[in-house]
Amino acid sequence: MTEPHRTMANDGAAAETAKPGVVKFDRWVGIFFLVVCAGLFYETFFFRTFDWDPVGMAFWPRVLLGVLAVVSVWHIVAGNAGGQPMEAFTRRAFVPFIGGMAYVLLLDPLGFFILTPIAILLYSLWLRPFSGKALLTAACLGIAGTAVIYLIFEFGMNIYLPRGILE
Amino acid sequence: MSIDPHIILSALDSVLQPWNLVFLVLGVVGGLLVGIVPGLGPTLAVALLIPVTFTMPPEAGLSLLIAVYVGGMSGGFVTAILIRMPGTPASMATLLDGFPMARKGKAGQAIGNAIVANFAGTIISAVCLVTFAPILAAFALKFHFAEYTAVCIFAMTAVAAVAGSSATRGIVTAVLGMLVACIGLTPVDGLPRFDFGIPSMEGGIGLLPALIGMFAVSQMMKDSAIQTEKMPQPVSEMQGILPGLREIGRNAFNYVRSGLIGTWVGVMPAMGGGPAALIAYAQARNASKHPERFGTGAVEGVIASETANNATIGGGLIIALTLGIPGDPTSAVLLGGLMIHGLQPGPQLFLNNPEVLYGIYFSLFFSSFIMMLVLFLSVRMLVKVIYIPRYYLQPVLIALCIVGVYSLNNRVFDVGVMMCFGLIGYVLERFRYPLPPMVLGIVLGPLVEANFRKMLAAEDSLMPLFTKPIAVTFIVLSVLSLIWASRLRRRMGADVEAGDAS
Repeated sequence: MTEPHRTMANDGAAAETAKPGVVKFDRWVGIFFLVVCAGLFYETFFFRTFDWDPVGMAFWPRVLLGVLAVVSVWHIVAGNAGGQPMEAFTRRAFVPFIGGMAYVLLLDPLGFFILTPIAILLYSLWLRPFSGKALLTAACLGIAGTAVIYLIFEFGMNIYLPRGILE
Repeated sequence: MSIDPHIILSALDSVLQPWNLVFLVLGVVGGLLVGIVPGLGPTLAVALLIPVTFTMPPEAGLSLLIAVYVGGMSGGFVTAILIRMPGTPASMATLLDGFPMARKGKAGQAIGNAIVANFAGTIISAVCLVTFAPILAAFALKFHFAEYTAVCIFAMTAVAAVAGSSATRGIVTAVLGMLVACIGLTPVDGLPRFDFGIPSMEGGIGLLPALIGMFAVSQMMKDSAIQTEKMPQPVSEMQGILPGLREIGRNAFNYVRSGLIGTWVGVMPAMGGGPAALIAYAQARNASKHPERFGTGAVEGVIASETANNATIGGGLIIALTLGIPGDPTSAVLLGGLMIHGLQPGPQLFLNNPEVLYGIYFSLFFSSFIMMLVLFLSVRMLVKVIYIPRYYLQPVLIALCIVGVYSLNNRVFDVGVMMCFGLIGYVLERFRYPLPPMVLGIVLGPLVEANFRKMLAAEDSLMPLFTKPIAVTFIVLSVLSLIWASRLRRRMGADVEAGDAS
């Protein structure tokens, strides 16, 4: 796979685009999906079967995996079927995902009331240049945002939010 | 059944009582707010309000529930258009064109047209409910496994409309969506599949966590890649929010077609607003003179989606009131509300309590008027959401998404699913794989599998798909739809080449 080159997108963000016609990333995606198909097809042999059910619960996934395998082979053979270059990944984009997963892991142990204001504060600060004013507004946003969400869900909808260590 | 004008006037008088009108306004506003918040939907709102209606007369209680239902179904489009976060699954097709419109500074126009579309959809389905309820309900009873399978196959042809520039990539994401829907308990056997020994996986992957993840979280990831000072400032035109009569007239056929599609899908149990909106969207694209504009900010796409998803309200009520069969979860809760008031849904309701029935009809009409009024009064305020700096908006939105998704089943697992689908959505979009077919696969996958397997078990053959009149009609429609979509794709390809050459 050829190394993608950098271009500046219209919105001002540094975006990487591949040279059209050179990087046939669909082939790599096709190979990836073929491997996934093989793994999942193997898994279907462990599904329970019953004599009274001639079709079985493996039937439908196998049909789908068959279709996916055929299209993947087509992608491997034909390459970049859509003709459009891929868009590059940027490290910054993964920060919200990592932060979100950290929130998921900490929600039960720490609880909504401790975790949410901290998460909002950190995320807000990360999105803008740091300053004393930014810190103050982010802290206020964290407290106000948590209070509004609490009011909507616990008071409005009777949904119990996890208390964590405050329980 | 003869129509007694005294009963109709009595029902109208009851609905027009001042307190009842207050309940209608409160119900619609509450429903709209619930529809806007991700994770909360009309089902939860109606369920929460049932205890409130215990002490009310049946007409007033049911008016309130209907108002919440209409508001809840209508509110989802606001966040779908403004921030690519569908408030309810029924609004997923709306964001395909609504969000690009908002990014082009046409948020007001998109919301204005969506409001009129919601109103039109509710009214068209309400007219069908009043006029053809028994006929449509009888028609719905003719649908068995083969007919359902054929309808699902027809709905899957919408993949061609939402696949973007590459049909094969659309097929890949649609199949991936159906594979995702295979995770958890099977719809036929009730046994776990692809759970890899993880107990939480047995419950399957919820549609809403996947939807919010794929669209809202992936959009936040994409926006996060851009430095705040380089983020383009949206400019929204506030003129032309209320679509003119000429614009409405130009889209009249789109309104009627999408309204009828929504009503028809609503009549069929277990389909719901999401598939209705996607089918209507695909048909609107097929019928458009400019199909290439769909997905880039075509107002016709917003109109088709919103008209159809609101039309499922009347469709759902048709089957619920005439036969006592709930077509979707909200109808099921609504039927519970009816029974709590000592009313038996089904043919007996038409004979024994016609005043309640007419009260429901009038409530549906008045609720849709109130919904339109409330939304038009608040649209200027709603559009301002896109001006809020993202360092304020995004952290609160992601917290709202997390808590909203958590509240679905009180499971942290669902929040993890949402975040993972955010990553999947981001990666797939980087690779130019379209996301809407994946949603279609997740929604329709279980329906296709369940009906297809039941048909094979019952008939031991594929022949019913080609011998039963209704089934074969839908198979023919599917083939025609695919041929038409393929012609459109070729035409669009030729237009692009011609444009490049010039």
